Amino acid sequence: MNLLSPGTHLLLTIALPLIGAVVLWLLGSRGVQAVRQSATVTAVLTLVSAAWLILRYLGSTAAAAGAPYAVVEAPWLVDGLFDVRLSLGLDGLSLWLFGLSALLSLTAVLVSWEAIQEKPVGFYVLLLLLEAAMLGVFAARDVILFYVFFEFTLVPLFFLIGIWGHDERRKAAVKFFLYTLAGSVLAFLGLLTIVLWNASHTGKVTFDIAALTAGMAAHPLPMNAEGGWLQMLVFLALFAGFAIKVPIVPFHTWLPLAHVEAPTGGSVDLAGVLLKIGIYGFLRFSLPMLPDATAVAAPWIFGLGVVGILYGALVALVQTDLKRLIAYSSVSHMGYCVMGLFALEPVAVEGATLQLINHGLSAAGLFALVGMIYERFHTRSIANLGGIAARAPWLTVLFMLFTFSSIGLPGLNGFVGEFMILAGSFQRAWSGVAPVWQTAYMVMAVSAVVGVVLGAWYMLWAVERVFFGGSREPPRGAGHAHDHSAAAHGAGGTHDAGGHDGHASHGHGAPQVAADLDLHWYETAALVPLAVFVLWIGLMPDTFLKPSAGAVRAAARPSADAFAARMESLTVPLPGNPATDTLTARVVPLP
Amino acid sequence: MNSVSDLGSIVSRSLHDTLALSLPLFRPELCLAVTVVLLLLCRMLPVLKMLDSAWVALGGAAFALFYAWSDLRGLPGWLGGDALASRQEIFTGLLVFDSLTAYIRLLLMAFLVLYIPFTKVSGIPDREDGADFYTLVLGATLGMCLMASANHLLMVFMAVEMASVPSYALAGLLKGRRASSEAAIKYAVYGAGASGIMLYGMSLLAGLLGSCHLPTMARQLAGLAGAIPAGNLGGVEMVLVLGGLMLAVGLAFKLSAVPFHFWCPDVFEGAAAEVGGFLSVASKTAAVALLLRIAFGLGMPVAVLPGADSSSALAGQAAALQGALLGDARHFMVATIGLMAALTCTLGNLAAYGQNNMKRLLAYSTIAHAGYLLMGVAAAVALSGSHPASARTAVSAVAFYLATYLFMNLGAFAIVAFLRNALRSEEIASYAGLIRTSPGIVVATGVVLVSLIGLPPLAGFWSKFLIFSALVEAISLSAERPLMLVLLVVGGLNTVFSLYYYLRVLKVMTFDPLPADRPGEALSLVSFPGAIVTALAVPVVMLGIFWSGLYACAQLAGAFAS
Repeated sequence: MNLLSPGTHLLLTIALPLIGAVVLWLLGSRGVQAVRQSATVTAVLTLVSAAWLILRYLGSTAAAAGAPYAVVEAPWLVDGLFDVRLSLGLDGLSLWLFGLSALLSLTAVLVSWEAIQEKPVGFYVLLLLLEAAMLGVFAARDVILFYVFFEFTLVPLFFLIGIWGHDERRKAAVKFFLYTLAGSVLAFLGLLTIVLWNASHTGKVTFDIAALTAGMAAHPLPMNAEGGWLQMLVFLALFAGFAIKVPIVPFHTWLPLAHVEAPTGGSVDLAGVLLKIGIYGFLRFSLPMLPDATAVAAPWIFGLGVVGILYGALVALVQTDLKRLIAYSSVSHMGYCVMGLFALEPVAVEGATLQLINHGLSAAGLFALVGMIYERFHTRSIANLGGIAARAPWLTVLFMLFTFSSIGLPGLNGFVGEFMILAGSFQRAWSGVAPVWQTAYMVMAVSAVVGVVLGAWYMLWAVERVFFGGSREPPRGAGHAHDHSAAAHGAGGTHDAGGHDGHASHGHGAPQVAADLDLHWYETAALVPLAVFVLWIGLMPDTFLKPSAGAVRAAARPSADAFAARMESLTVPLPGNPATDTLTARVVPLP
Repeated sequence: MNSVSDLGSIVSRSLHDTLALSLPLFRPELCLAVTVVLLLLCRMLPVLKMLDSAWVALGGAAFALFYAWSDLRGLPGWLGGDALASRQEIFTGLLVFDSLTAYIRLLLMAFLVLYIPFTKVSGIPDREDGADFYTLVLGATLGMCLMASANHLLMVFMAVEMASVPSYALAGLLKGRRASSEAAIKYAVYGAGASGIMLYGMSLLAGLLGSCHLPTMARQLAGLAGAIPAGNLGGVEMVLVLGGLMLAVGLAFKLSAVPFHFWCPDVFEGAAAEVGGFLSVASKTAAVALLLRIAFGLGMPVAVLPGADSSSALAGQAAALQGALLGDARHFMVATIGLMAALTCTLGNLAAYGQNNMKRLLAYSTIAHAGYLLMGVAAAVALSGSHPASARTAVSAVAFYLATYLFMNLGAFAIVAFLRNALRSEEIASYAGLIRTSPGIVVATGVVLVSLIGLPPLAGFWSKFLIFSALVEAISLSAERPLMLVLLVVGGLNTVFSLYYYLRVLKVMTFDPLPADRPGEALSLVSFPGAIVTALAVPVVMLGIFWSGLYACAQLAGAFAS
């Protein structure tokens, strides 16, 4: 164990995909088989390395406190004024997201197995670069590295969408890139203002996130007219970057387009990991560093989260394209995370961080499955699909599992996250806000529950249409023969096999048997790990909540305290007013 | 000093001043002057005609670079330095040698050493024009060196003219091209007008303050408040403001700052890309240095003026003088420069959106970058009154920016020039699908353009970061808080605006389909043009990662402000 120090282990984990990418590039001439095999090996090795690192973390003394682990630091410029270091490490906040990135990268590689036949070298190289960047974002402990990795997640995905995407790929890629980049530059300017403000008070230019957090606690950015509302300006700048990334509703327009046009592997990484960076950014920067501005903005962003839940769900209800439906369900589900985070209630914030992982697993699984359906039937139109259950039972089982996870069936992971978020929000609405806000908060919290119902509605409706009922679409686009036999035999599961056999006997292309439609080994390998975690988190959430609880609560505490103080100041202090009493009682520091 | 009536002593003193004091600190300029003469001689003698003028020019520039480097190393503050005084007036006070002079000279010489091979490879000028071209370039650069070291209004004017007149000729280098001739005429007419106004302003200032020597003028300005009864000050102030604004017109023209930027896009579009690179980098560097010279020369607190040697006696007097007109002068300068910075930056970035020609786009990008530089200068002047240490940091930020800007922008213009040779077009649309034929060039373009946006980990990020950091310093320390806050917000938003038009170029290069009938051939990095582009793009990356060395040099340059 001691052969590899934790820091080196972390560096190695981030470097593995890069090394793999170079190897892949050199192997380029050996054909698609060699390329995808070595990409898979790289992704597996990275996953094993990441998992081992996480286990080491959990076994270490740092885990109990959620303290940073595996810290590596390289001084960059340390002299009189500057104290610039590059530093990496893991803590309770980033631990699971780091693991999720490694896990979903393997999924992304495996689901591209057959789908990518064109220019496979470039595709897998970009996918591995994306993996390194995602791992780096969550491991970065200073602002510069965070930003560099953040930008480097954009570039590979930009090309993945733009080159290997579907019909409107160029428009989607450019829109995705410009939106996110514009937001991230604003966010970066906000972070630089924090750095410089800190420097003007401590006399040291440092980019270290922990030092900046401490610095902002010691001398916060001014939140009054005299100081130019600088804290609010910085908060808005950060909000621009992270809200676009999440995306929070008015800024979400890039997402459906990007998802629909992206290749499956890109969608998996985009939905599974990249959206999470937004919430992670809020939790890493906005909440701990800008508590006063967060306290002012929290009710509004909480509201935007609820609007996102309802809007995403309502738009998903009318989609005809299965992938678009899941894209809008992502908007809806990320709304829960936003809502939980800005409820500023410990339970809800913890739920939101767990929900990040949950949504990462279920959305990645669903996008992967939609990709598989598209490969088999060359359509994603819900109206043209039907009766897949009988032809591809295992695919159906997994789709159902991820659907149930996504709509929050008790016993699966989604339930835990959503329940914690809603419980925290209700707690906040009923006993944690000033009377002027109370009605609004109650309405918002209740509306979020309506979102759960809507979520179940559109997902189950789609599942019913696509997987059950009569078969509507022939496999592999070999159209007419199947249409004909479907008309002759009527609907039904048994017919499908017959129709299919009939199609095979017609000898269109390679002979196909029913089993061919079900999951291939690489598809199974891509999805089963996700399914395992869906069940694991659902049944034993504590395993995942405990290591991150301390860090998450610590990150949210400054804002939660500021929010409580603000709510208290909004409450008209009447002697004997019960509202005042409960509120005062609630101002006690969070556990 | 009392018995200077003796002519002999005057001659010997001035000889001593020239030979012993001034000329040793003037070696880079001397190298350039000698090279110019050599280039002209080479034309006359048939034997020497065989010699390619590019190599002669490069040799001269290399010598000049060496001397510029050794001058910078000799400055106090450098490791093991202290060979030279930190501030030395040379040529009887017409010029001044200090860390800013040394730093800017080094930049200009480094620019020449990179620029001459680039023009040699890109083929403009051709063999026939070579001697003319390099004579003009070296002559203009000599003028720019003088701009950076001017200490006297006469010298300011001379230097500006010396840098400008060859530039007018350079703009018309492509003989027989209407656009090029039009550019030259436009540039010359505009330049002549601006110099006239500047000269008028100078005469107003000199007449009022009774001197052209900048430090003396500052002293006079400081003394003016006491000398003139309070009632009459209004008229004097008005003339001063008028003179200052007219002087600013000339400088704004050289900087291509709004509202005197109109020449810039037309000249850049009409002239060859090589000339555009020269104007955009060298001319801008010198203009910023000159602006720093004048702003600090006229607005510097008396206490740190060179005459104030016996500190105890003069300290009280200095403190009394500081508060009066000098503070107003600084405030006026900060307001003018700051306003110009905000306008220049915003207009440059917004106007760049609609451009289809790459050179025009780069012209607007040049204007925008002049805006960022002006922001740094404004912050430096705002801090100079009360916080000299922070003002030094702000000047260092500007100096650092200039150095990184050299590589980024020259790189961009080099790419435009080589692509023009390969594709016979400078339209952005003609770059479609370039990634499929010349991937290396596209990567280099990406590096250069992303650095111009200012994203880490490239050099452009650190320069913007240092400028913004100077602004934040000025917000928290100086009296110009609201303006500095506005500048910070404007600078930040402009960075975001600038994303789109730089990235559009990359988008065309990578995403747009390769036209079937593309004229011209691919451009590999393994070729002479490729080597030049690499030599310019690699420092952009390296300076982004290892920036502390350059920053140390820039800090040295900042020391002039004390």
